[in-house]
Amino acid sequence: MRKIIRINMSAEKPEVKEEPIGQYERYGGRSLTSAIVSCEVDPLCHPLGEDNKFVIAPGLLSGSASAMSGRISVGCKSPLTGGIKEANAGGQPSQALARLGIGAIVLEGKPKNGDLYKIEVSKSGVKVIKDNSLKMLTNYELVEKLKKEYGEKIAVISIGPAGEMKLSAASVACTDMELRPTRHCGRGGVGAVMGSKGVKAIIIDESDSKYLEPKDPEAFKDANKRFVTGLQKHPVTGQGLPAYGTNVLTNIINEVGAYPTYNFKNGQFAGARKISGEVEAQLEKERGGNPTHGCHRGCVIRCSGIYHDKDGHYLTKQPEYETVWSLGGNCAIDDIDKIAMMDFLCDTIGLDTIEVGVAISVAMEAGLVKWGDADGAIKLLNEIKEGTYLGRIIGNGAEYTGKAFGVDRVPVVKGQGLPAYDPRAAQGIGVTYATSTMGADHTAGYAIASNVLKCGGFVDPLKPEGQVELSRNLQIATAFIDSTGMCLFIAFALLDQQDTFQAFLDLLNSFYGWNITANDAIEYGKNVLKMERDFNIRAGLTSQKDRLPKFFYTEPLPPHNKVFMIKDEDLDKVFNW
Amino acid sequence: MGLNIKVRLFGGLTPPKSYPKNESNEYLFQVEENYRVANLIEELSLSDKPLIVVINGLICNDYERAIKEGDVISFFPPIAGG
Ligand code: SF4
Repeated sequence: MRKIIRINMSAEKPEVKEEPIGQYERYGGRSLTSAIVSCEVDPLCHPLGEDNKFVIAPGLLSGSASAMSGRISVGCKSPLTGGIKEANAGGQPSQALARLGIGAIVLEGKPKNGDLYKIEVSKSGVKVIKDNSLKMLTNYELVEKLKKEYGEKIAVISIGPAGEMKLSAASVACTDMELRPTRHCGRGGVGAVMGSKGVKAIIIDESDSKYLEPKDPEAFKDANKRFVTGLQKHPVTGQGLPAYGTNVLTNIINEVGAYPTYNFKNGQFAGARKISGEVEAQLEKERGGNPTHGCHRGCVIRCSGIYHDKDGHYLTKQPEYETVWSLGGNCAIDDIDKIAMMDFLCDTIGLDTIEVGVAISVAMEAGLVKWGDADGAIKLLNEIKEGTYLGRIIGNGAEYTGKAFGVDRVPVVKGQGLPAYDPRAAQGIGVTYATSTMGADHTAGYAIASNVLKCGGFVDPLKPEGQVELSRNLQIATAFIDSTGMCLFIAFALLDQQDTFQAFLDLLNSFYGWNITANDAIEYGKNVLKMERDFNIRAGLTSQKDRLPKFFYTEPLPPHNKVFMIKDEDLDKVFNW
Repeated sequence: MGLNIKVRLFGGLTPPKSYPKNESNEYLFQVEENYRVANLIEELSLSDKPLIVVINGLICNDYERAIKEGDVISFFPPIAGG
């Protein structure tokens, strides 16, 4: 039986309560964070106030021996969108928490005196310890310090200076297999909410962690075997992602004219090839890094990598496609080493690379820094670290930056910056951006799969037909997958291979003694979205907020010269099922 | 008179032999009228591979499409990310 750990940070000495998972039993990962936030948080509370809750939940299969099951979700009311937020990441903490029997950690209340705490989680229980010596450490500095104190058999969830400053682009970092803080629950300012609870780090003891026992071990083993075989035989999860990582997208998205650049003014960037996954992988090989690397133990796809600088020293993990776009292509920067440096800075300051990159491109639009000026962009990131007024403006995201500098072309939905696909050249992803409960979020319903990559069929990216249905089905499926602790990238194989999808369901069924079918999975996903929508509506995010910024409807995007064509009444049908 | 086209290969696809290239790493081909995308795929020894084909920025699902003067044709293996 999983348990929920509740920590009241308002108390003079923070109180730890342990309770059975109870009413939340069928939930894990995203469904669990969203259920707790939706049931227990006042939708009108201030996101940084004592009434918000910060929930950390491993997925349903995390802690098991199943491949790919190490995703962790964090949830809260978002300071960026004002709505519900779930952000997830890989790394080691999910498996470590789940193996200690923990279904969720819920941080409640708020310390009164500005003290900073760390939380130790081990077999012997949960301890909250005041430690003001950690103040304003970057994520990398923090983890180094914790290693000295606790040894190397730990997994860490932490915030950097951005989270402590409660900036709306602040992320929550999770350590990877090498104990580096490289995997981030990025979006929506979740790091600011963790910061508002006065918690700098959660240190999870991994020293004697054992796989959780499934209800039916034989069936589970068999399902896992079929699942892994399915992932390995699909060309995307078996070859494309391991060889080049997510940044293999740069060239294709650019070729189809859906690569936003100069703050969503053009759909193609002349420097795209220089910053592509192919170039990144080549440099990693030449410099002694590694283009094929898992972000957590048990990942068989291994889309991640290790990026070394020109001298062959570790610089950062392999920058993801979204990061290379947001801090690179969208700002007209085509220097991959400088982009990798910015990736490192974001990880260590504790920032969402997408939000901060979109904010920097808005600042470039305002003339604050010149297009393509990588050093200017790096300077802005360092200003965030220092907490200067300018840094705090950028660190609060694209919308805030747009307001501060009087920019009227600000690519956000519900206050959250648009990711790396222009909705005018990939109309399906525009439906997801507009209607997702999370604000503009590509992962919430990754229509690029069918709009461009021909996974799960093909829906013409330049026409409105079929996009609402595509986005709806993907949003439902994603809400389910995000609850299981599985990396969303399994979806590329699940969409094309029925037997791999069945193996995935069999994993859940044999682990929990359930008997869920594909239809149940769909109902499950719908229920998650319903809880999230319900919270958002009570928070004031009604259907009028399910829209793209006006310029996407009026400014044609070269080279295809299309605008976003999905009608409002059709957007309003996404959740009518 | 042949038709002049440019071919771009991505995601680790390599040509089976050497073709003339320009400085942007595009392969330069001259093909006959009525040459199909399928012929080009065969020429590049890509017939047995799943592919994504993009012609002049548009995804091509019809490999019987006749190639036109000035076409820029890009080939990708199955890839994804996000
Ligand atoms: S596929 Fe990539 S993101 Fe997913 S678990 Fe593996 S390394 Fe992490």
